[in-house]
Amino acid sequence: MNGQNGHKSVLVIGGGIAGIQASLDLANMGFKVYLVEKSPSIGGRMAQLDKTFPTNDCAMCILAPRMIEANSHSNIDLYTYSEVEDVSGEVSDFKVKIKRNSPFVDWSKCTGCGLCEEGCPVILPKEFDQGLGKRKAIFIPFPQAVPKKYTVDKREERPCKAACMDACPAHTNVLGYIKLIAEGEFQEAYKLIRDTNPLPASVGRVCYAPCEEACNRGQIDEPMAIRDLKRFAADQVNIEELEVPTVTKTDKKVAIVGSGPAGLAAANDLALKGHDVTIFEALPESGGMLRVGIPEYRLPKEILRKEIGYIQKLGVEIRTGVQVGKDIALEEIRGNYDALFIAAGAHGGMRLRMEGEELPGVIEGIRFLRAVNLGEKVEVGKKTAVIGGGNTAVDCARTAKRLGAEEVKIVYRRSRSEMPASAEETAAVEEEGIPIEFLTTPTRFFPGNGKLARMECVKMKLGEPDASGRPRPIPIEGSEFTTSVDTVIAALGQAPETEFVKEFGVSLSKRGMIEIDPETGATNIEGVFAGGDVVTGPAFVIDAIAAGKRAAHSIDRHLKGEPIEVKEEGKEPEKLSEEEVEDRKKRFPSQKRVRLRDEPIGERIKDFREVSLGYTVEEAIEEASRCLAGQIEGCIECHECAKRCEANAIAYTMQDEHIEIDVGAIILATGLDLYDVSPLTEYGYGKIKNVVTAIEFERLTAASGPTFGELKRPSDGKIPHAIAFIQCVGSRDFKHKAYCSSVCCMHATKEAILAYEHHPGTKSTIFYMDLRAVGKRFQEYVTRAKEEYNVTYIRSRPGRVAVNPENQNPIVWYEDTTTTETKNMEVDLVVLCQAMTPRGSKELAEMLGIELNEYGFVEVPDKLSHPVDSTRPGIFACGYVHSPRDIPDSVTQGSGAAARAAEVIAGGS
Amino acid sequence: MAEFEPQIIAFTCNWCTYAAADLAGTSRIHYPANVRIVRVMCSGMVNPMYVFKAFESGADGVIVAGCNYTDCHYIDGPVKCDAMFARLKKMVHVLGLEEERLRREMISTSEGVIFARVVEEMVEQLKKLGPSPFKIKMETLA
Amino acid sequence: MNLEDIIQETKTYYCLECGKCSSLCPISRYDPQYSPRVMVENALLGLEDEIVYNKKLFSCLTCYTCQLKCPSDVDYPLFIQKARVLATAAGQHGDYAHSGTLQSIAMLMARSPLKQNRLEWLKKDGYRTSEKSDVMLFIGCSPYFEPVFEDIPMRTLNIAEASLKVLNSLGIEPLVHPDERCCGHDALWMGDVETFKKLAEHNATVIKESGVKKVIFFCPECYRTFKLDYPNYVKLDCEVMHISELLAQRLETEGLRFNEVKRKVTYQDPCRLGRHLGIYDAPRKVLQAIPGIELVEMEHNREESICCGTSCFTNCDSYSKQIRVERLLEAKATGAETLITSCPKCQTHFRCAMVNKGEEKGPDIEIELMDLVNLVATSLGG
Repeated sequence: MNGQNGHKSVLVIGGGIAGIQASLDLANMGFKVYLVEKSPSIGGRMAQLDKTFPTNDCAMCILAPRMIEANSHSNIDLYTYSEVEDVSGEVSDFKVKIKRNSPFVDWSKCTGCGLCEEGCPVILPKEFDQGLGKRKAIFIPFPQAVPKKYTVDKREERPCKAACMDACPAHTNVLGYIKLIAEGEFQEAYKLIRDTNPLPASVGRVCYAPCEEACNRGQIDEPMAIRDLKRFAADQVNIEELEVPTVTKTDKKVAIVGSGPAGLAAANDLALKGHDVTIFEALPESGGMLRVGIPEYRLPKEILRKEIGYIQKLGVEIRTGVQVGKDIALEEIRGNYDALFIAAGAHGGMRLRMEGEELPGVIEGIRFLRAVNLGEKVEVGKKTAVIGGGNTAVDCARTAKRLGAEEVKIVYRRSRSEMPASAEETAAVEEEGIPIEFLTTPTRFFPGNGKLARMECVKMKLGEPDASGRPRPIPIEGSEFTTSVDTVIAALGQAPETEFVKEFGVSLSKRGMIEIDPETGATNIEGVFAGGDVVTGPAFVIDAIAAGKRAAHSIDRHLKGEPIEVKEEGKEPEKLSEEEVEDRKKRFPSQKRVRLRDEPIGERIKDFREVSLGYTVEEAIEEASRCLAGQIEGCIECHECAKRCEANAIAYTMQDEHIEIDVGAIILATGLDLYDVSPLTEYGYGKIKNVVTAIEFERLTAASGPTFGELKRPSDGKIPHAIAFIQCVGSRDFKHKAYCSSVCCMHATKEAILAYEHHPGTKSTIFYMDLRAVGKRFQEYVTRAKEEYNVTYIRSRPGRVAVNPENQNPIVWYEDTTTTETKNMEVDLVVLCQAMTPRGSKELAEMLGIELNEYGFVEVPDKLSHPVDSTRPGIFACGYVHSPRDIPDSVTQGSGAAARAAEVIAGGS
Repeated sequence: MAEFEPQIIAFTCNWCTYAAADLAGTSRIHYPANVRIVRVMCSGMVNPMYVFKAFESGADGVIVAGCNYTDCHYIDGPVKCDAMFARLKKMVHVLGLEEERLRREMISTSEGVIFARVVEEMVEQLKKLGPSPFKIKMETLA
Repeated sequence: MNLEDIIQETKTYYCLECGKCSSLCPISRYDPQYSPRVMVENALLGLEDEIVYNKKLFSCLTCYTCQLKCPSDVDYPLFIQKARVLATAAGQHGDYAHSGTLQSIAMLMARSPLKQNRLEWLKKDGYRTSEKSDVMLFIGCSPYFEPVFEDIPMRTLNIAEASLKVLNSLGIEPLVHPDERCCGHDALWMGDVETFKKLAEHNATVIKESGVKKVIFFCPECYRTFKLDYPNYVKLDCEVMHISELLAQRLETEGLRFNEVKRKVTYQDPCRLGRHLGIYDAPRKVLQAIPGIELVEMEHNREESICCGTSCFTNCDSYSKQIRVERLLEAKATGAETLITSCPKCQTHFRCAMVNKGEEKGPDIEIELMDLVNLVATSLGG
C-alpha cells in the first residue's frame, strides 16, 4: 500500500506525554497517526508522578484527559503492548513492521471489570509502583490505564501438566493455592480453595488426596503435600471472622436432605447464587459422616462446626433431628420447595451374619463411631477386636484404644496388600500398638455371663481374584481357634438407607442406591437431584463435595428455567513424558517433601487430641515452593481468570500479531529509564530498607501508590519526619553518567514540599552539588521550599549511608563544604535522586538507522535550526530520549516534533 | 693509606655507665678516642631505632651500656634493655651485620677501668672487621 | 615534579569539591579536621605550603576508597604519593610508628651490599625449594617483622612458611632468594623515591639473574608494588601473582583436594589486593572451596571494605585505632570465629589493636586472626 496513505501518516514510538502530545497535534492537523507503546498502557513516566513542578499540579489530572483523547481520536491508531520490529524505506515512504504482543485477553470483549485479577494467584512486583506494590499475573498497569484492558503476563510454559487439578473430583485450583502459600498469601490461598471446596479445613485433614497421586512432581522426586498445605492454609484463617458476601436473593427455595459434605457443598453454592436453602438432618448434629464417622483425633469437631457455621451465615438453615420419611414426608418437602437434593449418605452398617452376633459386646463399627462422636457413653472391654480392613476399621481400633481398651487388635481376612485402608492410616494404627491379624476371620461368638466372652476364628488363604479384583479369601479347614474377647467391633462397610425415597418414586439401583445422571445429578423425577454416598455407596469426602457442587450447578440452572447442561470439567490427569521428566530433573534440583509432624505416640493415645500437628509457616512455604508450576515467572495457567471472566475474554491460545504500516515520518519518544543505583554501593540502596529512589518516593506519596498516598517509610511503616535527598546519584559522575539529568534538583524540591504537605513540620535536607533551578518560576519554587516548607539545602555530596541498627534510620555521612568538617546526619528516610537514561534507544536507533551520542541520547546534528531532527531525514525525536528535560520541555518538544513531521509529510523537507 | 679508625657510638645510662666513663676520664685512664658517647637516662629507653640510626649515620659499632640489674635508678631498666637488645640482635642478624659490631654492657659507676677496656676491645675487633657495610654506597652494588 | 605537574598527572583539576571523598574517608570519619577535598582544594589554589607542611598529608591510608568512588575521577592516592615527594624534599615526614625502626631497616637495605641472613627459617623444616626453579616466592620483610612484632604476637614467618608449604603441595619447588630486599612499597608511598628506586633496581636485577618466569607473593603490598609500580621504574620480564590467585587458578584448572576444616570465617579485603588490584573473588573462591568453611561477609566488604587503619607504619594514631576497633567489631558481628585476611600487615595491625586495648575496658574486639595461606596450608594437610 505504497500510496498516498503512507505519505500522510506518522509513526510515533512511545506513549508518554511527549509521544501523546506529538500524536494529538498531528491527529488534529488531520494526519493519520500510529502510536506504538511497549507497555499495555500509554501514560509513560508522567503517570507515575504524584505532582509536577513548579505548580504542584496533580500529574494524573493533567495527563489522563490527554491519554483518553489519544485513545479515542479517530485519526490515531493506538497499539499498546506492541513493539516496532523493523523499519525500511525512507522519508515520506517508510515501511514499518509492528509486533502486537499477545495479551492473552480478547480486548474486544474485556470490560476491564477486574474479576479476573481478584482470583489470580500469581503475585508479581508492580512495575508502576517500582516494585513497591504488587500486581497479579493478569493485570492492568494502573487504575487509570488507557486502554483499560487486562493483559496476562505469561512468560514461560508451565513445567507440569497440572494433573492435580484434573485428578481432584472438585477440580480445586491446586496450582493457585500452592502458589499463594509460597508467596505467603495465606488468606488468599484459603479464599481460592473455598471457591471450589466449602470445607477446606476438614478436607485438608481427611481427604484421600488423589491429587497427590497424580502430582507431576511425584515423577521427579516426591509429590507435593497438597492436602497438608490445604490444611495449613485453612488453619491460618479465623473462619468465624471471615467476611460474608452479600448476595442478591432469588426467592427460590431448595431443600436438601442430609448435611454431610455433599449436602453442605450444594447448600453453599446454592446460597451463594441467592437461593434459600434448608437442610434436613436426621441426626442431632450436622456434618454427616464428617461429624459422626470420623474420629475427633483426625478431625476436631470444633473445626467442622466453624466451617458449617460459615455456611449457615450464608443463609443456609439446618434443621437437625428431623428424619425425612419419619418426622416429615418427602412429599411435603417437595411441595414446599422449588427443588430437592437428596444427600442422605450411607449410614447403615453391614451385618456379620454369624452365630452370636446379637450378643452384648458385639457392636457395629459405624454405630460405634457415631456414638462416640456424639458424646454418648460407650464402653469397651479390656480385650477388643475390630473386624475389617477399611478406614472405618482402623478408626474403630484407634478410637477403642483411646477409650481405654488394653488390648486392641484388628482382624482382617485378606493380607496387607489388599487392605482398603490407606497406608498412612495402617502405619499409624500399628505405631499406636494395635496389631493386625491378617488372613483371619471370625466364625462365631460365644457368650459367658450373658455377654460376649470368646470368639472363634479361622485362618484364611488367598485364592483366585473375585468380582472386586482382589484375591478371594478361602478358609483353611481345621485351622479354627478361639480367643477370649470382651468387645468385638464389626466394621465391614456401610450402605445407604433409601427406604424413605422408595414410595416417592425415585428410582433405585439393585443395590438400593439412588440412580442419577452422573453428569448432572438429576434423578428420574424433575427437580429432584441426588448425590454423595446415597448414590455411590460409601466413598470419599471430596467425591461427595464434587457431587454436591455438580448438583448445585444443575439445580441453579433448573431454578432459572435454563436447560440443565453439563458443566465443562477437567480432563484425565496427564503424566509428564520421559523426556519431560529428564528435562525437569535437570532444571529443578531434587527436594524432598516436608514431612508433617505428629503428636508423640505415648501422649496422643491417652485422649482424642488431633494427631497431626500441621505445618509451621516456614515449613508450609518451603513445601509450597516445591510446586513445579511455581518454578516459573508469570502466569502459571491455572485458568482461574478464565473461570471468573463473565465476558469470556480470556484467550490462552492467542498468538502475537504482526502488522505492517506505511508512514511518511517517524517520531521517537521512548522517554527515560531510571539508572540502576545499586552499583553505587556506598548509598546502601537495596541493603538499607529506608533508602529509596526518588521515583519510589513519588509512588509512596501518590494516592494511587502502594500506600494509597500515605507517606510511610518501608522498614516499619512509620511516618518519616526527617528526610534527606541526595542529588546526582549516578549523574555528573565520570564512573556512571557524566551528564546532568536535568530534573533532579527540582523534583527533589517538589518531593520535599510534598513530604511537608503530607506531614507538616517534616524536615527535609537536600544535598546538592549546584542547584539547577533553570526554568520559569523555578528559583521562586526553591525559595518557597526554604522559607515555607522547612527544606534545607547543603552543598555536599554524601559518600556513605550507614544504618542505625536499632531503629533502621539511615545515617548520611557528608562533608560540610562550608566548614570542611565531616559530619553525619541521622534521618528517617533517604531519597536518592537517581540518574536517568534514554529508554530503549539503542535497539531502535539500529532499526531506524539514526545516530546516538555516547550516552544513548538521539544525536541532533543541527541543534539550532532543526533541534528535533535526528541524523536521518524524516525521523524526529522528542522528550527524554532526545536529551535530559522536564515535562513542560518534553511537551513543547512533542509539539515541535509534530510540526516537523507535518512539514515533511506535507511535502516540505 | 691511613689505618682504618672505626667509629663507635656508645649509648650510656646517665646513672652508671656515663658516670663510669666520666670516672675513666677524671682518673686519666687512657682509652681510644673512637667512641662517641650519647648519654641517655636509662639503658631501658634505648630503642632499636637509635641503633639503626647510628649505623645509618655511619657508625661501625654500637655499644649499649647501663647499670647492673641491682643498681637501676628505675628498677627494671636493664631488664627492658635486655629484651630490646635480644630483638635488636635478631634484626641486625637478618640484615647481615656482624654480631661483634653490637655490644651490650653493664658497667657501674665505679667501673671506669672496665669502660676503658670495653672500648679498647671493641676498637680492636672493629679494626679487624673493617668498616660497616652500610658505609658503602649503593652505587657499588651489582 | 612540582605541584602543577602533580595536578595535571592526577587530574585533580576535575575536582568539583563535592566532598564525597571526605565522607567516604575512614580517617575523616574519626578526624573531622582531615579532608581530602580541602587537600585538593589547596593544591588547586596553589597553596603548596598548606600541603607540604601539613602533618595530615601522611595520614592518608592510600586505601583507594575515595579513588573508587570519586565522581570526577580524581586519583587522590596518587596525588598524595606525589605530594609526599614534595614534602620529603622539604624535609618533612610523617610520625613513624615503632620509632621508625622499619623505615630504617628499609633504608639500610637500600644502602649496602650486605649479605643478609634472611633464610634461616628455611633450615628448620623439610620445605622444598630449588635454585633452578622457574617460580620464585617473594618473602619480603617477614624475617624482619618477626622480631619487631614479637610481643603482639605476630608471626610473619608463619605466613612465609605456610606459603612455601602450599606451593610444595601444589608441586611447586620455588626459588626463595637469599638476596631479595624490601620491595620499597613504604618508601614509595612515603615520598622517598630514591630509596624506592634503589630497592626496585636491586630486586629487578636479582630476579633477572635468577631467570625465574613467575614471582608469587603472599604480601599484597609487595604484589601491588611489583605489579603496578615497578614497571614505571625498572624492567621486569616475569609474571607476578598473588598466592590466592594461583590457588584460585588451580582450583579452576585441576581442582584442589582440601581436608575439612569446620570453621565460620569472615574475610578482610586488604586495600592493596582489593581496591588497588580488584582481586576480591580469588581469596573467596579458595575459602569456599574448603569443605566445612562457612564464609560470612562483614557489613562492609569487597569494594566497601574498611582499611586496617594504618599504612606504611606512619601516622598510626588514635584514629587508626578507632578504625581498627570499628572493623573488628564488624568482624565479630558476623558471628565468625576467625577473621581471615591475606595481608600480613592487616593482621599485624589488628593484632596490635587487640593487644593494646589500653587500661580502660573497651568493647570486646577479640577474634582469632589468620592468614588465608595458613588456613589453606592446614587444609591441604601434610
